[in-house]
Parts: sequence; structure tokens; C-alpha cells
Amino acid sequence: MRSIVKAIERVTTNIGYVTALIVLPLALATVYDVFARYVLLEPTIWAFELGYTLTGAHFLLGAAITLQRGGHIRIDLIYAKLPPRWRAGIDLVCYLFLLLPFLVLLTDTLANYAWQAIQSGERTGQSAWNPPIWPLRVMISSSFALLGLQVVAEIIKSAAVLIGRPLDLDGDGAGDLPAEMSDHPLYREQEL
Amino acid sequence: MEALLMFPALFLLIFLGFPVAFSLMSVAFVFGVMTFDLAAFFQFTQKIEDVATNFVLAAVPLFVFMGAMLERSGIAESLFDAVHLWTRRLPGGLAVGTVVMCIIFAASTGVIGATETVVGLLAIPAMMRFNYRNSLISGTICAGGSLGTIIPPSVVVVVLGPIANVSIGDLMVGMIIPGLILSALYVLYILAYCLIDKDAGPRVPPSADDPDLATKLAITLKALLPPMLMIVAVLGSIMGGIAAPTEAAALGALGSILLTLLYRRFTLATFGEALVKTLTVTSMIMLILLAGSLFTGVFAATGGMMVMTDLLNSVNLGPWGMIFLFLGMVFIAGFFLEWISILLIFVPLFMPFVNSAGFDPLWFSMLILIMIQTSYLTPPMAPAIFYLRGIAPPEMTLQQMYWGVVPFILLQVVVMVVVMLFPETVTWLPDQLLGFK
Amino acid sequence: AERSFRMATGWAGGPLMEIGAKAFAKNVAELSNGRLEVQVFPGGTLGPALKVSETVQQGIADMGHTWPGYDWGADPTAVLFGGYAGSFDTEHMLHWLYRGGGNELWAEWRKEKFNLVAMPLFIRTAEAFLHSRKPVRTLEDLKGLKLRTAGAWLEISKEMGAAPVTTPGGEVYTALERGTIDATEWGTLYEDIAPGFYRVTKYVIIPGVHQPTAPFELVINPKVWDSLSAGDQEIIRQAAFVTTMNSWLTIGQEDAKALAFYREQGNEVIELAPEVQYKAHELGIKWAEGQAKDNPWFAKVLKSQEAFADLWKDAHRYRNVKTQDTE
Ligand code: NA
Ligand code: NA
Repeated sequence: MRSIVKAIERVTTNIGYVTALIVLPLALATVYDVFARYVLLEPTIWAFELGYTLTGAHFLLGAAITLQRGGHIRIDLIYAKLPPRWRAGIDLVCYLFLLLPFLVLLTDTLANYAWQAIQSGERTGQSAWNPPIWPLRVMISSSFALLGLQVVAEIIKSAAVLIGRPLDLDGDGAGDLPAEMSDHPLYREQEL
Repeated sequence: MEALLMFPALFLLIFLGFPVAFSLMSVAFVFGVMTFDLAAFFQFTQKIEDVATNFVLAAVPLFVFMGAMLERSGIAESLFDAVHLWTRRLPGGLAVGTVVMCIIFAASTGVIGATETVVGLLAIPAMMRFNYRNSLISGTICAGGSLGTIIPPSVVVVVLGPIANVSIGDLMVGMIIPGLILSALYVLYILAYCLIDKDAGPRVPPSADDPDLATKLAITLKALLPPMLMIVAVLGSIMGGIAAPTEAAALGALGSILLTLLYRRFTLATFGEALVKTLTVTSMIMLILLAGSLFTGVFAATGGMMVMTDLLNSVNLGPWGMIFLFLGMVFIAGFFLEWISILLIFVPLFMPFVNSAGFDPLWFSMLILIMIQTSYLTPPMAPAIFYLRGIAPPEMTLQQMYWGVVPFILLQVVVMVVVMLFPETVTWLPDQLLGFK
Repeated sequence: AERSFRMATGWAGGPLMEIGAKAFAKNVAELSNGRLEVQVFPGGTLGPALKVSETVQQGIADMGHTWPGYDWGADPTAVLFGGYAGSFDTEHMLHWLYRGGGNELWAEWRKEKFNLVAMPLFIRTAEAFLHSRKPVRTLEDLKGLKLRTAGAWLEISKEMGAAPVTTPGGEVYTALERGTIDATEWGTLYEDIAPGFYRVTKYVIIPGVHQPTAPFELVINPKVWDSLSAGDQEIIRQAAFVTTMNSWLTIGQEDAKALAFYREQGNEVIELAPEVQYKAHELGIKWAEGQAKDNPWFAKVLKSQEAFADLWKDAHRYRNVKTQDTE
């Protein structure tokens, strides 16, 4: 069980780290558009649609790592005062019977929707650039699949707490940035 | 009628401690499938795509990144140290500085969540270091952060204008005076509170080794000037019409990287931490937004709006009675719905009554707007508090946050009463400033 | 009511809601003596404002009020029904739709490509071309003008020398007020009063060469439609027709009043030089011919419109008496 959770969380965090970088192309593309407007006197036709796609990709693909880190806000006035097994019980029931079925059905619908877009070649219709819409839809369906995967990990973790054998995972998986961050090759510390 | 059962279900999940975004999704899921079977998922699909393609929201990650970068690199800390040099003799000086910063940010961006997270990231560590009381810190950040609604430009107004059939321009200008009154009340309250309760926002007693004016100026110049210049450049480019808010946010994001390089505080670790912080905070905010829109969709489609209409048609309280009823409904709705839902569901129901009773729709819209701003602070669906939780250190508890916002909610009620009694606070300025007559 | 329908719309309020969707609901109720009821939902409640046709397709709403042009990403043929720079004026459009075979093509296209029942519901006159901070008369004035628009007009206005930008709807007013953009198009003169652009832009530029007409539409889920008796189907058709004609009459009158209103407010009204008007139409037609090359439906509808235009080519000579005012 422990290794399944670890494997899932490795996927979630690695995709999360890459997703975190999306802010940079978003900022660069948007700034370039301002530059193009004032200096080149010809705004780009792609910055707007690229911009909203990157914004969507950023927060949707980030939902799973946010869950893994306990970043989705709870109103824990009661929750925080409950014993760990009660908390695990609440999580287990809600994740298993509400959120997971929702995400499975949703991902299925979204994936079909994306597949239709690939077949029909439908375009966004939002601007003169008018790119095909399937990359956006593939991204959206993948993010909910990824979130579903992390929910499975949460379910296993809660179940383990409930049966009195909590999993020992390195790193606390909650709150602020864990030490593992700086060990990741992407962010290895380097003084400049 | 089953639409109304969505609220108790939502309350139950939220108070059990299930994450807010997931609670909203789960309730939308269960009630959606009950009404539409699996067709509900097509509604979800559409709503998700709608939120995921909204370019205005790009300002959120960009501003959050700017804040996170300045915070992680320690630049924010030196900035507030410099502010504190000047305000240390003032009771609650840092909190006042924070409100001022919120006003400036609110005047530059209309995107809610962006103001609060960026200012919060900068100001919370500083106030904590000088032993400000946690409830004061959270109240200041939440209330200040939600000023974005009522200080132009405001995304809320852009949605409200067409629904209420009121000019967006009149609303944007009309809210300036109420917005300033509210901000002034915030500042006065903080000063008075800290004057009476000396431990809330402690001022530093004068001592022999206080830096002299020249030293103070030098420190300020070094710590305050470059980041302030950047912030002014970013916000100025919006106000001066050079860049749209989203674009300015992008400039700010890149500018913050340059600034950390300039101060030689840039490390890949800092950078990575800021990126991941930005991701988790943004994702948290947007997922609640998205889930809220799923919830509202199901609520509307299962007949929630019809129930409201019938309710309104069945009472008759006279013109002022209706105004109070409407505002009361918005206030209560503000406990559990987010603002877009409130506007879409309620305002179309209210406006015919308001118009036929002869009230000024601009004035009424302003009352709604103030109520909406209050709704950011009213639990359990208090977006201002969610955003704060996303950035606050763990030692700041939810209880402190809830108590912290109470005085600020009362101040909003005060402004509401002022606007009710003196409609000129809303209607005078637009006539002076706008148009070509 | 015996039978109630959920109607999704793309609007929060304004004329499209009041004299479009809600007027239709009222007409349906009256024509059926209250047996049929249409519940109108503001844009964004049942589904996204720009995705009404999909909301109806999937059965979340029974019917919807939308603009066909929103679906140009799925099939560009949509703009031939919704209006674009190469379109006829509204009067011609009404004749083509109701007498020249347009409605039949429209219904066939919606059925085949989207599995929807469709008919016109509401029609606009030419839009205002721009609410602008700068005066715009000639092609030269258009050079480098930062104008906000969406859809196919982005491409065409760029060819005319403008610097079009896609500003999200929510930022348009602020962008104009602060000068981030120079000008925006929006709706007709009448519809543009509510957003209040006239308070921050001095110039009203007419006529809307980018959108000489704009038919809107009623889309109905085919299962819902098939479940109706022939009589009830006819009630819906009649209600849609009456609403469409009324919207045309009302907007015509209100546009005239709106122009006077803008002048009273201190706006300056500028008419585009003929060179701009010819150029926009020419580029519109060129764009359409390009689309028709690899899209059979587009080609079919365009051909019908061209045949109609040819048949009507002398109409302005026998229908419109010249007076000094029209010269
Ligand atoms: Na604002
Ligand atoms: Na609230």
C-alpha cells in the first residue's frame, strides 16, 4: 500500500513541479504582447488564447499537488479538534463515496469530449488565431484524472489511519514547502 | 424545492471539515445527477471549460507569484521594516500601512483574490514579527483585500452593470466615495483599537539608539525604493492606461524576478519555492471558484431561482421594506454563495421591484455592491478567509480569522447606512467626472 | 402551466433579454393561453453564456436563445447566419431568411451539424462601428488603432491596418477609460447605452461595417421538439417570428433615439468614409470565399446568399426613392 501511495505521489509531485513553471511562459507571452503592441505596433494574435490556456492548465493541473500538500482549504473548526481516526473516517467516506465517483464520471465525460474535438477538428472560435480546441480539452480531462489519482492516494492514507496503521511516508505532505523540494533536480539550490 | 436542500447538504460537508471546493463539487454532483441523470456531467464540462478559459483570471497566478517571490527572497521583509521605521510610533502602524497598500492594489486591479494574496504575502510576516495580534492581522488582510470590489476597477461591477441595467461607468465612479469612506473607517478603527488595546498592534517606545533621520532615509532608500518603484510601475501602468491589469500582473511577475536578482537574493530554491507556493495558492482559489460555479449551475437548473421568485411575489412590505428584504437576502446568501452566483440569481429578481418603486438603480446597485463585499467576510463561504488560509502560517487559527473580520463587517454596515441615508455619496461624483457635456 | 421549458440564454439583461428571450416567453404563454411556459435563465446559470447551443444539445436546457456566430469555432458557416462584414443589411437578411430559403438552410444545417432544431429569434440592425477615444473616418485613421473586437473581424480589421486586440469582456470598460485600447465595438447604438461607453469615449463611429446585421436564434433540443404536438410546434414558430419582427421594429426606433441621446451627451457622431465601407465589405466577401473552398456547408449557404443578392440587386432602385436626405 505504502509503495502505491508513494508511486502516485511521485507522479503528482513531478507533474506539479513542471506545472508550477507554467507561470513563466504565461508572464513572458503576456509581456511580449504589450511589447508587440507598443514597440512593434502590431499586437500578437496568439497571446490571448495562449494566455487563458496556460492559466487554465496551471490551476487545473496543479489541483492534484495542492491536494497532496493539504492546500485545499477546509473549515476545520470542528475537524481540527477531532481525533485522527475520526478525521480519517470523514475523509475516507467523503473521498470514496462522493469525490472519487464524481471525478471518475467527470473524467470519462471530459475525455470523450476531448476525443470528439480531436475527431471533429473543432476550433476555439475565440480569436483570429482560432487554434484547435482539443489540446485544451485533453489538458482539462488529464487534470481531473490526475486529481482522481491523488484522491486514491488520500483514500489509502485515510484507510491506513483508520485501521490504526498510518503509512510512514517521508515528508509530511502538508503545509508549506517540504525539504524534498530543494532536493528536486529542477530546483536544486544554486547561489547566483 | 429540492434545490433548497443543497444548502444543508453543503453546510454538513463543510463543517465536517471536507475541503470547501470538494464539498461544493460533491453537492453539485449528487443533486445534479438526481435531477438530470448523467446529463449533469455535460453541464459540469461546460462550466469547467468556462472557468478554465477566463483570461481575466490570469492576474491571480501572476500577482500571487510576484508576492511570493518578494516574500521568499526577503525583499518584502525589508520593505516593511522600512515602512515600520516611519510608522513605529503610530499605534497599529503596520496594519495601517497594509490597508493603504490594499487600497493602492485595489485601485489597480479588479480581480478579487489577487489583491489579498499579494498584500498578505508581503505584510503577514512583518506584522507577526512585530507581535501584532493574529486577529488584527487577519481582519486587516481580509477586509483590506476585499476592497478590490468597491474600489474601481472592479470585476464585480462589470458583471453587475448589465444585469442591473446600470452603466458600468456610473458604477465605477459612483463607488469611489463609498470606497474611500470605507477605507478611511478601516484606518480609523485600527488606530483607535490599537490606541485602546496597547498589545494589539504595539508601537515601539522611543529609545536612545533610534536611527537619526539621515540613517532612516538611507535605509528607506535602499529597502523601500526599488520594490516601491516596481509596484508603482506595475500599478501605474494600469492606471495610466499602458497595460491591462493582466498585462501589468505579468510585468510585475517578471519584475519581481529582476528585483531579487538586483538585491542578489535570487536562488533557484527561492525561485522554486515561490513557483510551488504560487501553484498551490492559485489552484486552491480557482478550484473553489470553479466548484462554486458547478454548485450554482445545479442550483439554478433544479429550480432554485423559481423558488426565490415565488417567495418574493408572496410578500409585500412596502418599498423600503422590500429594500431591506433584498439586502437581507443578499447578506444571508453571502454566507454560502459566492458573488457571481448572488448577482446572477438575485439581481434580476430585485430590479423590477426597485425600478417600479422609483428608487435610483445606481444607488441600489451600490448597496448590493457593499453587501457583496461583506459577503467575502461572512462564514462559512468567506472567500477572503480562504485566501488568507492559503497564505497564512499555521499558528494563525481559523477562529482568530473569524473574530478578526467581525469589526470590519460592522464598519461595512456603517457605510451601508451612510449610503442609504445620503444617496449623493453615490450619485454626485459620476455627474461631475464622466461624459462630454 | 401544462408544460414548462427551461431556456438557457447568453445574456444577463438588456434588450436581448427583454425584447428577445423574455418577449418570446410572453408570446408563447399568450399564444397557448398559458398552457406552455418558458422559464428564462440568465447566461452563465445553466451553462456558459457562449455555449448555449451545447447546453441545449445535452438536455440541460430544453431550449436556448443565442447567437449562431458563437459556434463559428465548431463550424464557420455559423457567421453566414449570424452576420459578418460581408452580410446584407437587416432588411435583406429578413427577406432571405423568411422568403429566400434561409430559414430552411439554417434548420437543415443546425440539424445535421449540431442535432438541434433552430429558427431565427430576434434580429439586430447594423451595430455601431466603434465607440472611440479617437476620431475615425478614413482608412488612414484606422491605421494602428487599438480596437477591441472578437471573432472573424479581428483578422479582417487587421488587414485594414488596425491593431485589433482581444480584451476580455470584463476589462473592456476599464481599458477604454484608461486608454489601454482606443476603441471598441459592442452592439447596436441602442444596446450600447447600458454599458456606458459614451461616458468615456468621445466619438461614436457609424455604421457597423463589421456587422451590418445580426440574426439571433432559438435552438431547441430535438427530443423536446418531437414531443410537442404539431399545434404547439406552430405556436413556438409563431412566437419566434413575432418576437423577431418586433425586435427589429423596436431596435430601429430605439437606435434612432439612441443617436440623438449620444449627441445630447456631448458625443461626436462620425460616419465612415465610403472607402472604409467598401473595403470592409470587399474583405468580408473575400474571407467568405476563402472559407467556402474547403467547407461544403459554407459554400452551399454562401451560394444561396449570393443568388439572393443577385436577384435583389436592383432593389434599392425600385424600393428606395432618392431624396436630398439620402444623398
Ligand atoms: Na478594484
Ligand atoms: Na460569505
